[in-house]
Amino acid sequence: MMNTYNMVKQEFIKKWINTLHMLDSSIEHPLNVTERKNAIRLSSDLAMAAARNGSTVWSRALISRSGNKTANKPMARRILKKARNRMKNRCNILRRNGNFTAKTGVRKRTDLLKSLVPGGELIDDKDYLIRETLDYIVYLRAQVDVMRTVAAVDLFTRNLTNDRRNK
Amino acid sequence: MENELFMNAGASSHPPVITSPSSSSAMLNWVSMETQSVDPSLGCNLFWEKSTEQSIFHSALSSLVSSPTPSNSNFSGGVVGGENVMIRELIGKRGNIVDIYGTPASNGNVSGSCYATPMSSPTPGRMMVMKTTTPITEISGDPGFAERAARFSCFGSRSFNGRTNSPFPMNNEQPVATNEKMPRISSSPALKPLVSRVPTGESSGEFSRKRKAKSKQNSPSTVSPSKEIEEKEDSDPKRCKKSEENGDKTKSIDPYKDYIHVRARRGQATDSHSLAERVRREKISERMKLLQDLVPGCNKVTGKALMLDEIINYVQSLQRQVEFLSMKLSSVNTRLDFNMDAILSKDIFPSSNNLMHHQQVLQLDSSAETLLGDHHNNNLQLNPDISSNNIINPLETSETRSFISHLPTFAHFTDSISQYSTFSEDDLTSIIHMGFAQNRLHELNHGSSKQVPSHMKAEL
Repeated sequence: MMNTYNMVKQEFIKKWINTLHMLDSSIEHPLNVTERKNAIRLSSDLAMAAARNGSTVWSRALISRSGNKTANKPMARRILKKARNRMKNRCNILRRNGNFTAKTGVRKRTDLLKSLVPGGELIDDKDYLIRETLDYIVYLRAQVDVMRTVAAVDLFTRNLTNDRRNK
Repeated sequence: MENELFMNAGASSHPPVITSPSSSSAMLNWVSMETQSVDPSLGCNLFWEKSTEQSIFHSALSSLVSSPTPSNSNFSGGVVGGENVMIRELIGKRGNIVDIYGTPASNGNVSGSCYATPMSSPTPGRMMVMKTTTPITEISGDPGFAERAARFSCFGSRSFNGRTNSPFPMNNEQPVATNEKMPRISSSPALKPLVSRVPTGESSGEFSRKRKAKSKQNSPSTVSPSKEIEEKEDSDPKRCKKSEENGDKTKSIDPYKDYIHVRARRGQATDSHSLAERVRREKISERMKLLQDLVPGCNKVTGKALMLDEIINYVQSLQRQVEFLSMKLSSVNTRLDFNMDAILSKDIFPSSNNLMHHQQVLQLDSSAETLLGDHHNNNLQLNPDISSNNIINPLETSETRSFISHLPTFAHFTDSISQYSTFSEDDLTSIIHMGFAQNRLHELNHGSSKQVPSHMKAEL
């Protein structure tokens, strides 16, 4: 059972490499740091959604949302080919409510959750929303874990090469 | 892909295929389940497509919670302890098993799939329930229920083994359940069917709530059609209670209706609307509990609003982490990604299954193959500041090869990488804190950054 999470991560990595390649072919170069960040974020989100492979609302919404951001439509279509149903994404902006000063209530919070989970606005049933959130959290964690380890490895190798250079 | 995932996840739990038509007695069902438990391949393919999502979800959930990866170290109130690990495993297994049941293709299996309501493990030996690994034990998703039940209630002393061998288990329950109504759950194959007999004891309320919620976990919208049956059920509770056998027989006979049979609990309204409402509420609360287990630090929080708060915070923090990590990865040498890619493309997967996965992944489109070939060129493009590039330029592959050779195979790569991450955990957290500030600064200073995505947006 524990291997499943690792498999999720492996799946994510595989897809991520593919999306990185795809994205790289479609983006104009050179890029500044911000653009690169966005490209990486985009590819990572696409990979996460592709790893989930389209049977959840959030994955499809994320694919269609990210697909709009790329200049290369064929790439988005290629990824969407995997997802059978294409859902229209009505919300392109990820609203981040840093200050939740609204009146306390389940209603407000579910609205906020809907804004966070991609495609959440399209879900009316509350427990379905929670189910989607659960699934989304799993893959989000996998994404974070993978990216963190990649960054850590990079840090490690950078130190390694620095040491080599210094020797 | 997900079939593979599911197979790997579920293979350990010996998912049985129940295709026997509903028989008049649960005993026959048990027997049929036993006989059919050995060939999971028969109907499994039927079930997989429909159940991959939830099964993966469940297995991911269970593995997630039980995995000892360092990601757990991030969780403040994370799930700890072997006990919980087992519990998650149970729930994961239950999820798998339930998913196998839940297809409309298998008509008669429903009520037949009487879970051996092994709620009756006499002690808090929930592990005991799982250890009685008869196929029936595996089949019954009730281990998951059992341990939850054991958590909340104490049951009469009915041994699970005794139940499996005995005739219809209702006979045992009759002396106990004379004073209270026995909540019962039976659902159709269209939903994830869980027919379970609950020995009430003292715990009818909460426990049956749990069970009902669990049974409806994967069936979001079944309330309205179930109202009629609920009324019918409510009309003769005593009759059903006293004649357990017949009641169960009738229950087991109608597997073709797609609604949930809900028994009104004692002292509660029997109105169909309130019943449906209660079912829905229980479903939601069950899901919230699952989320509570998933989101760290949520154990002490009660109430929907606060729990939703925690969940929202967690999702927000995860998304912010992704944002920050992508920024970090963009500013560092991204060549590392292509190193990983080189590792992958050179096939480091230990098993042949992964090989096939790899090929399938590459078959996404043919251009990916060519892209993989020119990843060296792409390195230059994606890494504009070569001056800060500590690692060799892409044309010098010797160092990369040596670097790659230092790394173990990719399957171990992830694990070893995770180890690296634990080393620098404190550094990472501090960096993250700094990074958030940095990120906001970036967003403030680079006001154009918001416009960049718009540039990249395709005009439809």
